[in-house]
Amino acid sequence: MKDVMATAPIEAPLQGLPAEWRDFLALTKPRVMTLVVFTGLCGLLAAPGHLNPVLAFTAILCIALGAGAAAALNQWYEADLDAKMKRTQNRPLPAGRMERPAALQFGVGLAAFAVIVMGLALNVLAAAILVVSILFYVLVYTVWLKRRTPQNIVIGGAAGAFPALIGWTAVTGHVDLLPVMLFLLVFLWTPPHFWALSLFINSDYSAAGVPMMSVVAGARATRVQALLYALPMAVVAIAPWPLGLTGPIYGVAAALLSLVFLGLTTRVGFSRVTDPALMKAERHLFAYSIIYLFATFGALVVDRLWYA
Amino acid sequence: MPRHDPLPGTPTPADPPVRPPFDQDEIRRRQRARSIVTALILFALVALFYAISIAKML
Repeated sequence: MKDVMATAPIEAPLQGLPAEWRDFLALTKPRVMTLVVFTGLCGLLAAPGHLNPVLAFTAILCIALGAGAAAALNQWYEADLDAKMKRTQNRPLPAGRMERPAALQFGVGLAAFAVIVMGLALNVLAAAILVVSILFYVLVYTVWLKRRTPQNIVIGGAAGAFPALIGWTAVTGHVDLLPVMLFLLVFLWTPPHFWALSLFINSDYSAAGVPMMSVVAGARATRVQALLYALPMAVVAIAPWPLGLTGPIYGVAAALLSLVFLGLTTRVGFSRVTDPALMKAERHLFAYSIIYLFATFGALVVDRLWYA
Repeated sequence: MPRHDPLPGTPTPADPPVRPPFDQDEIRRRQRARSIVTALILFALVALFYAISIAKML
């Protein structure tokens, strides 16, 4: 870590100038947080049982703050990488609008607050899973895997899969098969989602020296592997229906959405385009993958509420 | 508090560097904005903890 901090080509923060509050908000990656909050909310709404609206709001707030804390700690550690990529070089740390200790303190404080409130207001199991998800994202993904292996986002994808599990556990106090399947769904969804992105911003990752699959193994291998992950993802997405965990509303929606996902991934899998500017199929897959997750989880909530 | 700037030509190394006026204004503006946001967040948290306490009693 010392080496990383020593070699980081980051702008020197304006001496003594305090960071804007907007920069602290930017540290939490609000756009990424919306997906996390949505999956957490869906896990909470799909869970059997009743939760007081105030406690439900608190659970979602803690999930959001936990995700924000993990994002802040990720940016604290990766400031040197962010400075090398066009997509991230305007973040508060690489742009020199904030000092690194401030980001670290903010991230640790936010994480501790989110976990303590979750434990006191909801239950210990939900708080424990929240701790695991934050530590997994920061230590396993950011510190350990991201700079070392092209499987970084495959294993690291687990961190983004926890919110639905946390939302469910906040209501029930225990883990069931359906939230585990939702966890698996997000886990298997992550590789095609990220690899579609990495295909058309490959030069960014390459310049930063991040060993993404597209950088290390090339576009062809990345396309094939994205397809290989999309197949089990579709099976896991549809499985809750035949297993009797959901009704036909979710089952039909998941089947149709997964079919389109598979179609787009197949198009990417067999594409031979090498110029990022011409990678329309990859951009379509990336955009659709976000819609897919929102729509699948939305269908689950509608189904569970309809048949409750 | 009256401010005692060093006389021209006699800088003292121990003194902090004198900032240009824009810098001072910008610092004050940012500190004020951060204080307001912090106050709003603290107020929201007090309200939330009060609501949680009541919800846990129900």
